[in-house]
This record gives sequence, structure tokens and C-alpha cells, in this order.
Amino acid sequence: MISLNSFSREFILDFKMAWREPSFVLPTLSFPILFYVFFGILFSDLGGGENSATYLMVSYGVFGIMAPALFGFGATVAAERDKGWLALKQISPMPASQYILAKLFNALLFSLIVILILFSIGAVFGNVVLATSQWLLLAGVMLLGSLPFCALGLAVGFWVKGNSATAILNLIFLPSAFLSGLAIPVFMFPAWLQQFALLLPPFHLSQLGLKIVDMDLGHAVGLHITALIAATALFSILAITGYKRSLSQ
Amino acid sequence: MKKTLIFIIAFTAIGVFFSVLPTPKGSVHTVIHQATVFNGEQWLTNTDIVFSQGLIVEVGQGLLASYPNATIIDAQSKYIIPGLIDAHTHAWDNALSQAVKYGVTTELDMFTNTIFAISQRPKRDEHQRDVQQADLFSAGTLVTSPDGHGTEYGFTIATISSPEQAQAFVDARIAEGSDYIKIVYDVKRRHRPSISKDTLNAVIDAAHHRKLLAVVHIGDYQSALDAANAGADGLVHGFMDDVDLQPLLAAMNDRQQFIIPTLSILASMAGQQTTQSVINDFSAKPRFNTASIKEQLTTIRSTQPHVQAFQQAKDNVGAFANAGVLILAGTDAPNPGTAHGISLHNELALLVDSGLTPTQAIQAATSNVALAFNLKNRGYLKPQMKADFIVLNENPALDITNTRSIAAIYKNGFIVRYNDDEKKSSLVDPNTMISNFDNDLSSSFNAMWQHTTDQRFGGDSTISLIRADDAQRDGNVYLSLTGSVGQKLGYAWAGAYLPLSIDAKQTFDFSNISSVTLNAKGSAGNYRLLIFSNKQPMRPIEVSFSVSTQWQKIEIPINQLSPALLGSVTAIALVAGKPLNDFSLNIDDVWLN
Repeated sequence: MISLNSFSREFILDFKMAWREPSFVLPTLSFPILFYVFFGILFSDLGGGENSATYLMVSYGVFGIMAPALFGFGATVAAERDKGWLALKQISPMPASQYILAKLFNALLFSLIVILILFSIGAVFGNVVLATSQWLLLAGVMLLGSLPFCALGLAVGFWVKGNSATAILNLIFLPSAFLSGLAIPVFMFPAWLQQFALLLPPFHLSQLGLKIVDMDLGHAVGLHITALIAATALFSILAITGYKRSLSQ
Repeated sequence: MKKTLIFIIAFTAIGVFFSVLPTPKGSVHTVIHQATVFNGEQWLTNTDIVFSQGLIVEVGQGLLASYPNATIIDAQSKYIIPGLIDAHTHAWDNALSQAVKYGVTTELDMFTNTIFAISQRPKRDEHQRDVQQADLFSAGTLVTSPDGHGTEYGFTIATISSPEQAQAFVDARIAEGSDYIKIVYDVKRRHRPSISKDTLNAVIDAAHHRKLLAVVHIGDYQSALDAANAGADGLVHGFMDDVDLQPLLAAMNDRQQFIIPTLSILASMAGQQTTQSVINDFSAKPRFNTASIKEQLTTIRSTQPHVQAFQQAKDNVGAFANAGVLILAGTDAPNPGTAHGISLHNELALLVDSGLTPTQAIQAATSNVALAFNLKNRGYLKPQMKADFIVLNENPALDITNTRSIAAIYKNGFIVRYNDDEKKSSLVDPNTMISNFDNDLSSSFNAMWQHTTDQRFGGDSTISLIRADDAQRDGNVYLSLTGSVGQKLGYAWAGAYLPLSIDAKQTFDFSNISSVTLNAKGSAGNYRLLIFSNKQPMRPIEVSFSVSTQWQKIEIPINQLSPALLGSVTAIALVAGKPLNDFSLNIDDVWLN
């Protein structure tokens, strides 16, 4: 049973720990925002004005929600496992689901903060203009879309040791973000590389987001949603087996 | 408690945040730029039409500066008339979507199934929607006697047999939603029984009592005279009788009554084949699917045509026009010999044959109908009117058949589409000439060359396009671009842009095209061919080519480009960019091979 009181304690504890960890907060919040300010606002002559500000707000939004999902889960779970903290929590009366859920809500909270800041910059400095329904839908898609990355982070956290977890997550994070077209639009890649992007969850999430603002490459919505659900399922299975392995150790 | 408070404050803050994010303002205007416009009353040259949310905002000269964020559609050398109104049709099934494809943006139905009328009427008020069909006004069930005209179509309708029933009968029509009352009256009772003259009078009075218009179907002079004397608002047919019209003309002028001569159906009844010319004109453009309606456009009477009788019908229309009776264009589509939409273009030509000027004929299908039926927001191109209009390539004031030279039709401000079902790109064949600039900046596609620079994105490049010739080319006219590539933007450009359709939304399939060729000379250097695809809205495909100071034929291969993008081309452009600075570029004979 999840008790609301103990859950909120766990949630706040988790948030404070994350917030006091500069190696998590700084890159998570500042990278997408810095990139967006540079490429979406200051040097937006390429491609042109409001268009690129809108396009890049979506793609750096995906970039922005990936970091808290991957690192908030992966790195912290691995570190807590190393310190024996995870084992302590596993034998405590608190259900494991509560531990995961508190981390999930924290990842979503950080994602939300990134999204709100990006939207503010886009609206104020990038002249991004969207219908209220588009703004809301975009935020909703980004938050929901962080689920596969949370699952991926969790899987890495359970399978890999603390120090190497961060390294591995970086190896996943940056190349997959780049190859999904979050920094440079996919259509500027050579054709074979464009095909490769179809295998990457960030590509599908950014295409969903771009569909909302009518700038996507024109694949079916169903393809992107199916791909994201499949990724979530796959990573969740990996995470669960990893968790069971950590129990038996 | 404290946590709940923080939670509520956080949620409220997020709610406020999303409500203050910028949304598109009402300033989503479109400007149709520099057309020759008929506003329903007069012709205006060099005029801009501004519309937003399906309604016209402003019509006048030099409006561009007032709408800096508007979408601009260049209509220089185009002619724009209000969307046509067919004042006599019978609408069901796909009638309204068929009609709009020919520029008939409103139909006045004179008797149809009430369910169809009830389901379609509300759409005429949704001016902001992309309906892709004509608006409908409908009489609903007509007023006729038992076994009278109107009862022979296989479904049961209410009928009237005495004057005492008139008010109840009219009220029942109002309950069904009738926009006006349509009465069938035939004093001679030639084919079928008819209501009596007393009943005619009573029904017209009953309609007027409820402030509805009453219009009368007649087939001969005497019936027309009875209807006019009974105070009908209008007659919905002409007639072929050769009689002195004076008493009728006097009566109609007195009461300001109108007539819808429906020459299209009279021609069909007289066996006079008049539809070949509209079929020819429209079948020349494959987007009009005329094959399916050819059969329907053949006359009812197949034996010896009554040439004299039909000539008389036209002469009568001429007499009405001379006497100053308001004439409205109506076809009686889809009765045999007529079809929705296309037949109104034939009706306009028949009205001109009868003695109207082309401009009067256009008024008969636009402002006259709005005036006669008191239609609030259509028939004119003025502020608050619906953005329903036709963009024509040729001047219809000179030749009424030019209403068929349709470049684009706008319904509620949305362009009317022809391949709605498939949304396929039209395949472009090799050896298509795009432009030779000999007459103007037009192209074999439905739009003209325009200038394009990075000023759109805050750059400072400049360009001017003129048509020029020189002795070296034996007076052969070419397109001359002079301009400068600005320094402000990293990605600067200046050049000539050709949308392949008037709003650059229609897609064309260039898969069979291997290269673009042109003759060119200019400031030596590299220039770029840009190909715009709707699959890649952010950025066109670029192919560079070099030009020397001598005329030479240049072949720009495009067969290596992505097939997906070539399959959905919306526009092309020829531009100069860095490192060029001031440049001149002359081009001619642009072909797709």
C-alpha cells in the first residue's frame, strides 16, 4: 500500500537530494536552455525566425526532458545501490513502487521546470505563437513522452554500477539526441542516417511534438506512439529484471 | 496543510503561465494583392482584398502596409468576382460540393427534401470553416396542389387545395425551416393540376404575413401576369410565349419584382443544345471532372429543336432587362440538360446572348440575388461579406465566357480543392516549359514569378524583376533580375520565386523530371535553384549552378534528389546568395526535362 504521507516524504526527500546535487541540476536545467538560447534565438537566421524558434523549442524540449528522466533515475539509482541505500529501502516497510514513483514524479517535476523555462524563452524572445491547446498539448506530450526515458534510466540504474552508469547514460543521451535530429533537423542528414533515426525514441517524441506545430516529417501519429510505447515496455522489462537481480544479490 | 497550499499555488501558477503564453491574434489576415476586382457593383483596379476568419475585412488600394503580418497572395493581372449564386437549383446529395468546384458558392434551392435542407442550412453561418461546398438557402417543400407539379418525384409531400389552408400551410413550411416560399402555379393546367388563383393570392399573403418572400414557378405569360398581380416577390422561370409583355413589365416594375429566367432549362426543353461550349472550356482542365456530367448536360427534347421558341425566351429576357426588371441567374440544376455549378457559367452566357452586358450578367449571379433575396453577407466583395470569390485569369467584363478561366476559388477564405479525396500530387511530365517571359511573368503553372529575398526574415538583400530584351537576343524577351545580396544574415538570398499554385499549397510530382534547364547570363558566379516541398517546410532543397557573362544554356540535374521531396513540390526559385554581392542575372526559357 502506498501511503500518501510517506510518499510525500519520500518525494520531498528525493527532490531535496536532487536539488542539492549540482552535477545533476546544473546540466539538466542549463544545457537545453543554453542550447535553445544560442541556436533557437540568437543565431536563428538559418531556416528563419519564428519557424526555427518554434522548431527548436520542441526539439530542445525533448532534449530537456531526457536529462532528468535518464539521469534522475539512472545515476541516482545506481549510486544509491552502490551505497547500500537501495538494499536498506528494499528491506524497509515502504513498498518498492513508492521508491520508484517518488523518483518518477521528481523526474516529471524537473521536466516540467525545463519545459516552462523553454516555453517562456520561446514566447518572449523567439516570438513563438501557438494556440493555447497547442501549448498545453505540447507540454503534455513532453511529460508523457519522458516515460520511456525514465524506464531506460531505471534499467541502466539497476544493471550498471554507480560510476559507470553516468558514463553509459551520457553515451546514450548525447548521440541519440543528436541522431534523432534534436540539434540539427533530421532532414539535413544523409538518407541512411535518416532511416536510422526511426529506431530512436527521441526522434519519435520530437516528431510527435513537431506534429502539434505542423512541422513534422509527415509520418503517421500511430507510428510514433507505437514506437514510444514499445520502447517504454522494452525498457520497463529490462528495469524489472535488473531490479530482481539487485534483490537476489 | 502547508503542502496542500504549496500544491494549489503551484498548480495555479502553471495554469496562469499557460494562459499568458502568446496565441495567434485576430491578425491572421490574407491579402489578395493588386487584382482587378468586381465588388458586385463596380470594377476596381489595382485593388487588395483583405480577409480573416472567412470574412472580408477591407477592400481597397494599397492596403498591404496596414497588414504587415498578413499572408500575401499576388493577384496582379487577375480578375476577381464574388462567388456566384445560383438562384434556382434543386439540391441534394453532393450538389453543394459539386457546385463550389465551379465557383458557385451559394445555391438557392427551390424544392428539395426537407431533411437535406435542415442538415445543410446551418453550415452557411459557419463562415470561419473550411466547408468545401456551397452554402444552401432552401424553400424546402414547395407549395402545389394535389397531383400538381412537384408531386411526381416519388416521395409524398404536403399539398394545398383551398385558400383557407394557406396560412397553416405556410406556417408548416416555416416550422420546417423554409427560407422562402416557392409556389407552383399554372393557369393553363397543361400537364398537371395547379392551385387556383385564389389559393395563389392567399399563399403569397400568408408568406408576407410571416415576412417571408414568396416566389412563383410559372411556365407561361398569363401565369406570370397572375403571379405578378398577386404580389409575388419574384418569378423563378422565364417563358417562351411571343406576346406583348407590356402589362407584365409594368406590373413587375411597380412592385419591384424580380425574375429568374432559367434559360438553361428552357434551352434544354426546347431541344437547343447550348452546353457544348462550357463542356469544352472546362474539360480542357482535367481538374474539372466533366466526363461524369456530359450525359446530364444533354437536352431533354431530342427531336427537332424549337429554335424560334428559345429565341423568344431570350428576347423576353432582353425585354425584362430593358424595362429595368431585376434579373437573377438561375439554372434549375440538376434537371436534365443542367448540372450544379457548371451550368451557371452557361446561364451567364445565355443572359449575355439575351442582351445583358457581361457585367450585368455577373451582377445577376451575385449582387442582384443578394438584393432580391435579402441575403446578408454575400453577393458583394465588401467588408463583413463572406470571403467567397473567384480568381479569374481573363477579364469577364470583356467576354462572359472568361468566367470559366478559373485560377482559384475561395470559399470562406479557403481555397477550393479538386483532389480532396486522394490529395495526390499532380504528376508533371518532362518537356514542360515553365516560362519564356515573352508576354508576362506567367508560367505554365497557375501562378506568376515573384521576387523573394531574406527581408522576410530580417535580412537586407534586395531584388527587382523586370522583363527585358536586347539586340543580342533578337528582341527575345527574358526575365532580368537585378539586386544585391545583403550582409545582415548568414543565409542571405535574393531572386525570383515561382509558386506552382496560387497559394503554393498544391503539390506537384517531379519524379519524372531529370533536370531544369534555362538560358542565362549575368554576373559570373554560383546561383542556386531552390525546390520547395511540403514534406520539408523548414528549408528548400538547393542545387547550385554557375552563370557566366555570356548567354548559355544551363542544365541543372535534379534526379539525384530525394524522391519523397521531388514527389511533393510546391514552388521553385532561382536565387543568388553569398559570396555574390551586387548582381544581375538574366534568365529565359525555363524548362523541366
